[in-house]
This record gives sequence, C-alpha cells and structure tokens, in this order.
Amino acid sequence: MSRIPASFGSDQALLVRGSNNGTEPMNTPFEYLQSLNRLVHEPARLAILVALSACDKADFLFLLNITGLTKGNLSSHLSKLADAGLVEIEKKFEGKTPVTYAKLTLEGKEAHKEYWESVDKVRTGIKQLKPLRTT
Amino acid sequence: MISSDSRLIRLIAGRYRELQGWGTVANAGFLPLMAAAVREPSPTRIVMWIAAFGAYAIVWDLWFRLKIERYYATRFGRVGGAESFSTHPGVEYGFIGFFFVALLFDQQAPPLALGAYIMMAALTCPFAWIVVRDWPHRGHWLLPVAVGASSGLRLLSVVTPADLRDWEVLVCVAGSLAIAAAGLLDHRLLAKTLTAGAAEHVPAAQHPSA
Repeated sequence: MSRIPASFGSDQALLVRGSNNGTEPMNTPFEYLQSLNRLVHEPARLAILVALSACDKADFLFLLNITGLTKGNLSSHLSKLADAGLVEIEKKFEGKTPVTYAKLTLEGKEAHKEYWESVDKVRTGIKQLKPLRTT
Repeated sequence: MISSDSRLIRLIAGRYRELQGWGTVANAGFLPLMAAAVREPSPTRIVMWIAAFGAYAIVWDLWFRLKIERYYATRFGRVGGAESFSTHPGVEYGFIGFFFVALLFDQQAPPLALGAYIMMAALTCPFAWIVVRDWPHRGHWLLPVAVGASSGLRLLSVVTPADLRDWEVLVCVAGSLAIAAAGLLDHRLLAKTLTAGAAEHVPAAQHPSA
C-alpha cells in the first residue's frame, strides 16, 4: 500500500511529501486513492449505493429512474453488488405486480461508509500538500 | 440538464414520501375548509363545515391517498423505509384537527387568539426547518414561511374579534395556496430528477453528508 504507482511519474511522487518532517510514516492521498474499493468507486454502482443508503430498500424502477441507467446496465451492476454481498435482492408480489427490491446489507453499509471515509482522507491529504520548489 | 448531485440522490431516496407533492396539495385542501368554518358566524352552520371537513378527511384517507401512492409507485417506483413519526398520516391528521379546533376556539372565546398563534407557528417553524435541512433543493418551502412571517406582522394590527376572523380566513387561504405551490414544486423536483436520472455521474469528491 505504501508504494506509489510508477504511472504517477517522479513529479507526482514528490507531491506526496507531507508536512510531518518525515518523522512518522504517513498515508498519502495516493495511497488512499489506491485503497478505494473499485467495486464501489464505479459511478453507477456508487449512485445505487448512495440511493440505497438513504432508505431501507428501493425497487428496480426507482433505481432505474434515479440512476438513469438502462435496464440491462442496472441489472448487471446490481448483480455485481449482490455477488459481492453488498446488496440483497428480494423479489416479491405486491398485489398482482411483481416487484424487485434491492437493499443494502451490513457489509454494503460498511463498504459505503469506508468508501466515503477514504474519499475524505484523500481530500484532507490533498489540502495538506505543500507546493513544489522548482529551483 | 442532468444533475450530478449525490446529495440530491440521498434527498430523493430518503424523503420520497415527503416529496410526493400531490399529497401535499391534497393536504392543503383542509385549510380552505377551515377558512369557511371560521368565516361562518352561526354555530349551527359551523357544524356543517365540521362535517364537510370530516368527510374530506375520510375521502382523502380512504381513496385519494391510496390513488396518489399508486400513481407515484407505478410512475417512479417504490421506496421502503421506516416511516418517521413526523411523516405518519395519523400525526398529520391530529395536527390538522388540533389546528381546526384552536381556530374555532378563537371564534368562541375572543380575544385569546390561540389559533392565530398556532397558525403562525405552524406556517413558519416546520417549513423553515425543511428549507434549512434540504437546502437548496427545497428552498420553495420559503413560500409558506413568508406567509407565516407576514401574517405575524399583520396580526399586530388586529384589534377586534371581527378583525381576527378576517385575519384567520386570509391566512388559511394564503397558507393553503403557498403549501399547494410548494407541494407542486416538490412534485416537479421529484419528476425532474427521476426522469433525467440524477446520478448519471456521481463525482467521487462529493460526499453526501457534506
């Protein structure tokens, strides 16, 4: 986790020097970026998780409307989230209408919370960066 | 234009029932009935208005509310959630009923103006809280707040029981229009967001609780 990806280049690598005078190991914004959960970081899946985190459960039609995804895409993203155990899918009948509900699991709530904490750390870390000396 | 606001997504999902604006418009219909009852000086005819008020409440609860819920469910989808105390229909009816009784009490026991103060508080405090809590998306709830605040200023010039009755009728009608307008704007927010797809892009840097 402490390694900086080569793709960032040397200039970017220098940027991660923080203001703690090198006395203690620090987690850089880039390390936090690397640690982001890729499954959650994808914008469409993140939108699904954000919506589900605000309510107990939501049906397929609501998620379709709020995300603006196509049925196929939404179905695929929900399947990925369900396979990872972040979302629980429940199919039932309300009257004669079949309704598919999605609900965040405990793991999903935790992953969502951790994701935003990591984003906060990235943001805080970036604010602490010192400008580079060029001469 | 498609919104990319993750706070908006949370707002829509978390307050889906509150944002069902046609329900708010129907709720606002109670206020003109109150105005009609308050305006009626004869006690026997007041009973008639109370009966009309009760009939409207029954029709609203047994038929219209279900229609509205079905409309939103089939058009925009269903969202489940533990209903909060403040959004429970029973609380709304209790509040409206209490409001009505207080207004009628004002007519029987002047110059206490108990209903007038309750009406002012009801038009400002809860709606101001909605504006603050859901700013900037539900800033339109400033409409009833403005009605409540301006009616407070006007109340200062009320001297006689007849003045008080006129004031209450005016505030009931203006408040009803303001609440109905805010309800329609809630509906517009919901329809616009859910038609466009609020979350085509969710910027990672946009914390929903920020």
